[in-house]
Amino acid sequence: MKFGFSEEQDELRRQIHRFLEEKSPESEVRRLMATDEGFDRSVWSTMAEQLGLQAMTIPERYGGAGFGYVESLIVFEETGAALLCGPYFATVALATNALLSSSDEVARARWLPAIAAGESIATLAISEDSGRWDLSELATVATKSGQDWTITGHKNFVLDGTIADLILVVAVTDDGPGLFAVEGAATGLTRTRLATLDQTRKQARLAFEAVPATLIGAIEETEDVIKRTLQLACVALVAEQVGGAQRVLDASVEYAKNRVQFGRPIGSFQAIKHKCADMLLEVESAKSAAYYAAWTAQEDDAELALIASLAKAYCSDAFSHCASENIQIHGGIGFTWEHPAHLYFKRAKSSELLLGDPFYHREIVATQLGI
Amino acid sequence: MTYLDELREWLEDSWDPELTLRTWWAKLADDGWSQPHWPNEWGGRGLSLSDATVVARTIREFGAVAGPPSIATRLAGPTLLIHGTDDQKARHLRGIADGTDAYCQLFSEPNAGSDLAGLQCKAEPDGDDWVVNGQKVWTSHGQIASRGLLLARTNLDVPKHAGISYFILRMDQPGVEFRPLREMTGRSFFNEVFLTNARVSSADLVGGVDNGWTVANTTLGVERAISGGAELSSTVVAGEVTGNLDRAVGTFVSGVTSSAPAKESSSKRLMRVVRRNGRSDEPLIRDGLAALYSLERLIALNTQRDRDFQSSGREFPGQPNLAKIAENQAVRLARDLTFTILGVAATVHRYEEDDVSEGSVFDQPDTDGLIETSLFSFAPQIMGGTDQIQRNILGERILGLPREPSTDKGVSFRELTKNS
Amino acid sequence: MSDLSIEESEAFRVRCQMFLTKNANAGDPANLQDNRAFLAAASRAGLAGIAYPQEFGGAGLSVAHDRIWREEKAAFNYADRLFIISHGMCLPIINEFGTESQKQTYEADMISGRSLWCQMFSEPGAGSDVASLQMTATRDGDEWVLNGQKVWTTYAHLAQYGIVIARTDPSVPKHAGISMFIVDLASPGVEIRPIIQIDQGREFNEVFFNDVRVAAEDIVGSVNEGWRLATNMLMYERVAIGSGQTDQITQPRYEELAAAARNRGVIADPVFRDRIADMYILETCKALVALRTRDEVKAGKTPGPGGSLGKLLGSVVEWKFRAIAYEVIGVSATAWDELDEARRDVAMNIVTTFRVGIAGGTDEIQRNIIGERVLGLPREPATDRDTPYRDLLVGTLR
Repeated sequence: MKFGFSEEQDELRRQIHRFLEEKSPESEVRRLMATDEGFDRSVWSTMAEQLGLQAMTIPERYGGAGFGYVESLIVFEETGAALLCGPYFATVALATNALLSSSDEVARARWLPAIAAGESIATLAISEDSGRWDLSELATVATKSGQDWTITGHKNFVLDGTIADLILVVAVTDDGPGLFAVEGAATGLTRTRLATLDQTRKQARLAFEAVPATLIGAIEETEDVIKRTLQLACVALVAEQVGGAQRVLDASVEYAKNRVQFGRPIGSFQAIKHKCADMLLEVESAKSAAYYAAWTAQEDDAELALIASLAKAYCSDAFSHCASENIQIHGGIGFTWEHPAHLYFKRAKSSELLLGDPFYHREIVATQLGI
Repeated sequence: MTYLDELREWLEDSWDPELTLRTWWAKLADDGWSQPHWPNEWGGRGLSLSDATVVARTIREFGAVAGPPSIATRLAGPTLLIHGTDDQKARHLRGIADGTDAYCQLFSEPNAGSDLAGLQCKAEPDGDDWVVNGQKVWTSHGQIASRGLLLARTNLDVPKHAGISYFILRMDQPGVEFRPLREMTGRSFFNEVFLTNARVSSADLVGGVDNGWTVANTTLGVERAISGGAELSSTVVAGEVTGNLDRAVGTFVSGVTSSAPAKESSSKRLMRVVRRNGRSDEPLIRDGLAALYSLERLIALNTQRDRDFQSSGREFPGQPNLAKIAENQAVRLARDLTFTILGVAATVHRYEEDDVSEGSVFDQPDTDGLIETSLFSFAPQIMGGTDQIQRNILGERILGLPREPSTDKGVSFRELTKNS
Repeated sequence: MSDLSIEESEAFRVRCQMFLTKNANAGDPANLQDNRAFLAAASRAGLAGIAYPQEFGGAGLSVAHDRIWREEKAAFNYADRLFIISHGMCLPIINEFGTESQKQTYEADMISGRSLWCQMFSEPGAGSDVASLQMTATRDGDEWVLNGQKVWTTYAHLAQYGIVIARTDPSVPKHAGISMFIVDLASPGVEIRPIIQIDQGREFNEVFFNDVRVAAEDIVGSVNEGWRLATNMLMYERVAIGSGQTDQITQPRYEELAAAARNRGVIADPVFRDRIADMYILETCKALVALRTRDEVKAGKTPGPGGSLGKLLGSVVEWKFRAIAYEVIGVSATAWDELDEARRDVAMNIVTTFRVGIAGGTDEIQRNIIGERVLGLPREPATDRDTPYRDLLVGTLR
């Protein structure tokens, strides 16, 4: 088990950091979050062309860069810290992981190259109106007619659902849940933009009316594919959460050093100082958990199910708590729309609830531990 | 005949829903039923505060509208009664009692939050007037106020508390400018107020030059004492700007006939949602709801104990501060539970009423309200004294723990370390 | 820093493992004789005082060797546990700051375990604020006379010698008027009284000094240099307690809770499962923070803040464990049959959780240190830094 980052990995982080400082400063975040699509297409292209970010974990034979999950973590840590607006998480953490987790070589060859080139925005639709992340009680059905499939039903809470070119959908067949590919512009598909608490991350509700779909992989493997996809998606999400948590810790400390009340910086008062110290504990623990999760994913370790949920539970609580304390430490100004503190709280809370909340994941941990 | 009998008889004689609000409130003020706890000579009936609450409730139960509410009556009135000159009382109290004047509070500044005494807004003498320059923040009801309770610095060469004066500022003048302050809920309940060469007469300086801190403490003390208690009046917004004064008073009668429209507890609200979502069997949710409910009951019991103590002349030291801290704990717990119960559905939320996208998953009117409540929940632990300040107060004034060494006592304001 | 080749490291590691396998689990770590027997065996094997000079019976090896020794030792019984302060704090200070004469007199016995030492800093009136200590050392001819009281002295009841800090000049600010002495605990005037802990353990003592005489040559360092030396000793303490970590990621408190929950038949209760899984997660994170810091150090990078967080994280774990333990174990953690040692141990195991947040630097002090030294937050205004000691409000004085 190694925690250290190599010199190349550190350089990657510096690159991404610089890029985001320039392309995703707070002003851009605020601008894009107020748009319907929630992203800047030219930045998206630049991310692909200049930095190959969409291609990171895609194997070279599909036009990808063939990096591992540790490199990917570095990218997500930085995008999470910057609250990057755009379909990066949906495309890379959800859709790409689903395609890579499947054994369907044809599907991979068909869709990954365009994703790697930044030409195809993709997402994954699992949850329905009940908001569940497991595959029991799914109501959306896939019906076979000859060699073709069509999907009918609803999906909800689909990240970047309105702008995705490719939507991977889990729908129920006579033989159990299957994973299907649907074109964003397919007939019979109605995409409704949702208003989100966290405006930096767009969501949609999708209505399917006999929408043409392509089966990916064998139906029998779908449960395992989705399980693994969600584990890998959690690994990416906890990296974002860690980036965000570190950012709010930095903001709290900076404010505490500079804000003077009663003749001295408020960070000199133990109540504030101790809050910051406790936040540091959480941030460092979250980091360790996230890095460990990335390493576990990288090594394809059998413990991934346990570690992904362990990290998701912890990092979610840590980021939400730190983001809340960040508001409190900032006092009144932390409560304003104009100050970024609320953006991080809303991102934290939404990320906490995405892919299963901490209670859900702690139950997975308990089950994995055999208790 | 008791005062309540007298009140009921008066209501039978005087109530007419066709009257304008202006006329109705004037009637209440004329006969001392608007602020019955004020002294007779200033338009009240000399009743106790708790009797005044009973008056308001009785008026509502009768189906009429009680006296004007909020900052003017709750804060400005009592402050003037204690610190105002007869001239000031004569000029200002009637407008408070009959709702023709709406007030706002101009205390906090961007650089003077917890450390209010560090305020930097200046008032400089100019003939019979004072000229005011500075910036205030967290002013609610700013846009509708005709008067402001203003704290400004009138002496830079004495320690901070000793150089502050308290003014009644007329708000409709060119030097007073509002900017709505958007909060994380998306709404703008509060404002920033920019004062640029605003003018206030020395006749409207309350309590004497440089004595403003004492007067401010009265205002803040009254605020605290009342915020734990019952509704004294109606919830209709006063002042000319609202246009309410010229509407028929009958349009303001609330459907609730009991005292203060009961605010549904968070735990009750959440229990309804939980049942509707079919999650009431989940042990972790039950555990959380039980904890929230228990805390709410304890808070109510403390409030009851405080009321009982007060009516028997005893003291419950620190109760307002304890209540605030406990209430904030409950608010945080409710927030966490809300998100747990709603799950990923909580990530969907409409900020603007006219946002046409699908804002709510379960066709429940509650859901958006719960999220906004959760977002607003950060406010109570910051405003009116942060939780950290409340704990200092409890530790020092109630438990008698020593204060921290101070770096700014006895130092003239001019020489203090300040935010730039 | 590693001056060892991979082969040398491995060879030494194997040597340590062989020795430890044979000797480390032989005795009772709570028994002084057994501790001494282990140390004697280590001496014979050339593994006593790994990085200390051979002149004094040490092995004369490097810091890298010492690290390997500690890592290997951690997998076994702590066979020389009673010498943790002796070897972890007192030995290094004598080795680094002792005079030649002092080293000649004391160091060999310290390394071999023939003499056991204790550290005497804290007083009833000087805990978090040790520098405000009240014990006095007054010069009388070629002796110092010590008067006062120390507390929380680990293993004083077993020790032959102690390192004491006492005030030699009350007219200067508190840090500037302290000196450090070697005290023979058999001296007349020394009285040791055991303290019984909340978990019924007896590691600590009060030590009373009544006109105890110390020879002039038994001062460590110069007069009034004691605070600087004490600060060094406290740093050694942190290393001693913090070292010996393995590559293992373990969750001992979780194991206890899971076992207790199974025993009580509540392991299927969702609320308990959530709490117990939470314990697992927290302990895992704590272990990972330590591992990450070690990897950073090994990679030659400036370590992140993780190293300063271990103690506080440990306390957070203990607080959480205590809360969950009572819930999971229930009333049997509060009352047990007198003869049921196992149940008593369970109960004591829970109350002992208060210790780590108080001893060796309270949680509040830890948070101050983290806030100030790691995050760079400003210190509170100090009221006593430049005031002569005699004008201060100290201890329990009013």
